[in-house]
Amino acid sequence: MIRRRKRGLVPSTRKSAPRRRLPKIVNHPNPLVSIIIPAMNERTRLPAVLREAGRVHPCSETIVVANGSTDSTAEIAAAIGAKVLRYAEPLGHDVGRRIGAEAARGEVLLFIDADMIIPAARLRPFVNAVLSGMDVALNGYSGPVNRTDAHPVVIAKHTLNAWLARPDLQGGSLTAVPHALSRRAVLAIGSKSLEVPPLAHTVAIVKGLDVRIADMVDVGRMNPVRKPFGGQDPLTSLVVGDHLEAIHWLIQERGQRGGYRDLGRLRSKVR
Amino acid sequence: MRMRMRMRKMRMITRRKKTRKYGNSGRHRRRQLAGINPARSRSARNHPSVRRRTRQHNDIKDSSMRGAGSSSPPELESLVLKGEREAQPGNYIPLSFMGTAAAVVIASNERATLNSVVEELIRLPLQEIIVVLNGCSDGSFSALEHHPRLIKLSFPERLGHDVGRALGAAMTTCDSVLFVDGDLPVAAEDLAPFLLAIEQGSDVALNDITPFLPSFMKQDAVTYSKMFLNMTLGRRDLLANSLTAVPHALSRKALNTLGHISLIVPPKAHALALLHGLTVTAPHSVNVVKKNRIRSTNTGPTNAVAGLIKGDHIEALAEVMKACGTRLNFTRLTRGELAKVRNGR
Repeated sequence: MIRRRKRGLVPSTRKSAPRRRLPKIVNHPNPLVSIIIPAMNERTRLPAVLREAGRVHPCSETIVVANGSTDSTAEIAAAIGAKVLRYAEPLGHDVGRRIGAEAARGEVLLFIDADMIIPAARLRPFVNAVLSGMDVALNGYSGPVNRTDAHPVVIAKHTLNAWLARPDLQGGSLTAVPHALSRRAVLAIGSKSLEVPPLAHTVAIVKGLDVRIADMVDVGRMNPVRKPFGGQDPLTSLVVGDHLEAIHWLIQERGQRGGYRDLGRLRSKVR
Repeated sequence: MRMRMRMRKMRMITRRKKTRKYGNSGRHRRRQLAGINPARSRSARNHPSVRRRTRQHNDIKDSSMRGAGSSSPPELESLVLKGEREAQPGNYIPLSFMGTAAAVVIASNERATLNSVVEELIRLPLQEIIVVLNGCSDGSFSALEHHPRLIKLSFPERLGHDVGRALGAAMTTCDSVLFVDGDLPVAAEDLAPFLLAIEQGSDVALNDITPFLPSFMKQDAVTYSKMFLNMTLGRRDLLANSLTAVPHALSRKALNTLGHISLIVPPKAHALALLHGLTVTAPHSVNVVKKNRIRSTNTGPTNAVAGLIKGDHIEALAEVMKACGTRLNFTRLTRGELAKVRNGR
């Protein structure tokens, strides 16, 4: 039964089971790029995620927002060399990203997830796009679209872009990682909206920021399969609700019709 | 060899006989298409709407006989002939409805197609046919002169999109109302299912455009908008079916609940119907995508009509949000709670 003992941080004295060495990353004192990673119970994938993050840019800092973790997520992140923000209670990806963004000091903010190992080479295009002037560099991945019917989140993302008169973005959205923001974009969007990604997406477009697709990373394949929830995934419901919140903001900003004309309907003729 | 040839010939003859059994009766075929038992013809013939039609038929016959005696001018003669063709037994669809039914036709400079649209409607047992002529300057009004039963509403100035539909709906008191466009002749057999659905308890009978949809990546903003609205109102199964597309039919209950004013913005009426728990179905498919007239305003990525429909859907959601709050029925679980569900150990 000794073999099945939970592996802790304390190095094992047994020589028969050599432990893989943790990667080492260094945070630049004056970073140009901040990499923000919310993490909750992700100690298995975190070392590899941090290793790739450390290779993205020579002048960078990596911020791990460890929240609600009951495993050694925070300790591992600290051991590797990332800046760690610890929260006992679970925050969720979006709040974690907002908190990380508030602590970030770089000019480019790259957001990734702790449960997805994306090679550094696939992350660099997002950073480079913002470095060359883009405000919001999106992932072009929008989910499976080769059927008549699509997933509710896919429909929501396409609809929001269509209503924002940005059909070129297709299903690209701040809901998906990886994405990168310029400091200007973070300030324009504001912390509160940053917590609701579709709202942040809408605010960025309406305020005239340079929002474009920087690259396409198929995160659908990388996303770990989770245990079934019995019925609809509550995340789907949350994301669709977020899109409605974004549309609500659009209505407040641009009026009942979201800024679209009704081609001269004589509504008063009907009584 | 010869024997085999003869056998084949025999088989062909019997096959021909089989097809001839119902082949001559166009009426039989049409009744089958409309989902009516052909054996029940007598009860259908006794229906008041049908009886009235036969009387009308006789009247026309009388006038034609008179016409033959007193050398009528040629245009009158052609008119009479037309009337006779319409009233031919078997040309109309003798459905037996419990309630009354009406049709509302919206036309805007549709002279070329309006007549055939109306001729198909006449084949249905409708109490009222209301034609709304919206800013017509091409003589659409006079093109309909030989149809005495029509109620024509003529608006010389353009009312804008869908306003005519609301005006037509306000005119009728029938139990079910069928909405069609003047630019798109649809066979009566394809219109009957919508009225039948209302008769069988639906409040809103939509055109099921699902068979004509391409895969998601090839769909346009209008289709996304319709799907999104249905999904947010808990009817993902309706896909892109919407009151935006014709033909569709509404029940009296739907008209009373929604109010004819809401029909000015079809997606708004659609959203309200779902919100109020009306029975919304899509009983039949008519391909309006392929047949729709191509205009400068409804093609291309930045077409004006697409903008109008997007605006309509935003307006519809704004209306729903007024009643149910911003997030409708979507989770209010905080992000932290959700993370706990998904990532907790």
